[in-house]
Amino acid sequence: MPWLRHFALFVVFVAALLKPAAAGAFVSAPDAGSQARVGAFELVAATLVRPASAATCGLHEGIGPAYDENASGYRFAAGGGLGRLRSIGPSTWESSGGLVYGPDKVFGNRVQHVLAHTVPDATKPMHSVFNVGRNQVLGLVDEAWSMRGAAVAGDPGAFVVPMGRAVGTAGETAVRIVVRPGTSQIITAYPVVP
Amino acid sequence: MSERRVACPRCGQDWLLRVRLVHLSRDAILCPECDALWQQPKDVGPAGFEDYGTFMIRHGREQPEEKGEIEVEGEFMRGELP
Repeated sequence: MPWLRHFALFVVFVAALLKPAAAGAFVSAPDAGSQARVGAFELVAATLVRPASAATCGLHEGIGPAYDENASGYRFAAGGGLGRLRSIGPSTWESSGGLVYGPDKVFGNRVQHVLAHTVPDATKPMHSVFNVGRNQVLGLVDEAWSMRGAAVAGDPGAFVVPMGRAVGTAGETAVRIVVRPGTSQIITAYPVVP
Repeated sequence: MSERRVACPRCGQDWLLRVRLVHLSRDAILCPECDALWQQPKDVGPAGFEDYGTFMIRHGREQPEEKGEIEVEGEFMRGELP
């Protein structure tokens, strides 16, 4: 019965399309305003909420709950494709904006270091906080990196990039990005008053 | 009691630490936020620092973020400034 075989193939095809959503791998983040296309699915600022697979953990240990297996990378995109990470080596990721996030002696990796600036920290003398959610910060930093001008005078590893809008919870309108001088290896990024 | 810890004069976002650069057998002052590194307490200021990773690589330590490269000896205190 050829119609039965066609029907079975159709069912398999539909099941394959629906599998990621049905698996409950993603939920919408409450602070998300961005969308990104992942294969056949539109996910609204998806965040992985279940433990990653063993293979994922081995390769991407320490990054935190934002790995998107469908997109073959980490998802912090704020739109326009910026802020997405791809693994380029052991504990090292490159953002779609060209910043390299390597290991970090305090946070484990530079991604977590930058994401620490999404929450207040009263133990620090000053700790400026981005006014966007975790899943948008790397996109914002990529945006700033793409807009950077000359480095701070006398400090070739520091760039202060006016963003033309508030990017910090205290009304800061610029992003300060610190990289290893002469490279795109990021050390930290946080909002500042220009 | 007045604050004796010293905020990083480069970024202001963290307290300075006294660290031991283990494999180089030397002490230094480090900002864990921006990786600014000073060789001597008297040098601590908005200038005169070097990027930690750059310094380490220049001295033959190719993986400066690896465990065991530095030991934190404590917070850098104001009284240690000249």
